[in-house]
Amino acid sequence: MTPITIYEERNEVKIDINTRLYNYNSIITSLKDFSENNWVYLNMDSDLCVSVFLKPKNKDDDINLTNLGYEFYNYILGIMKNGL
Amino acid sequence: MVYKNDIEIINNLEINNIKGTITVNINPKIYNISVIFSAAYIFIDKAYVVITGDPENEIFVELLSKDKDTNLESLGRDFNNELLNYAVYFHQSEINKNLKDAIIHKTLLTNEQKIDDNNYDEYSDLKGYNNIDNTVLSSQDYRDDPLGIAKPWSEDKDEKKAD
Repeated sequence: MTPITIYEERNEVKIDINTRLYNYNSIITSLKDFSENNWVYLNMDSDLCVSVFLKPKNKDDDINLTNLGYEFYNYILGIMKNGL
Repeated sequence: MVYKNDIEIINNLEINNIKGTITVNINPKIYNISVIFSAAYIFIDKAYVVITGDPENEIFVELLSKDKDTNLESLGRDFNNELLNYAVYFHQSEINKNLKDAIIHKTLLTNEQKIDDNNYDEYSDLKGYNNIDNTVLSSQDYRDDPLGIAKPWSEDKDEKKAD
């Protein structure tokens, strides 16, 4: 099951992240970087999972929300690899 | 090769041709988390990578190729090879860890020499420096010039007249 949910009507993407696999500090560091171009919201559903909501700030840009979600996953990997 | 709800299963690979994704199932007892993340990092240029599952039992790495023409099976098999590559790398690093530490330790300590009262005379430079330092400190006035090094930068008026 892909942990990426698209809300077309709100132009928003929800990304569920397993905190047993992904480091929490890396998630919030990535989120901070993404907050430059997106409205962000972080929600914790349980101790094992956080939900990240991303909504592009610029409505005119035709951004693929699915790709945005996947880019966020790749970005966390990069942050974790670089130990930031 | 097994097909299950449009998903093609080959060993630990599940290929979903409709979504264009391949999921690699990994036993974390065989490959630890560090190995999985290192291998996944290699793929972020050519695929979107999502890691899910339970780190105690089974981890799923989902790869969605950025290029539509990529062969998904090759992508998954490349991932398996990369897992093995990093597993060997981490294993070798662990074996060589003590040796590496010893070499670094030795390198850093090569120039360290203990100075005590017994071998103080061997360090003539230090001793000489110490003497100069004492001379300077003992002089009460900077105009005394005990070392005879104070010379004016401009010529004397008397010398000019002689010329």
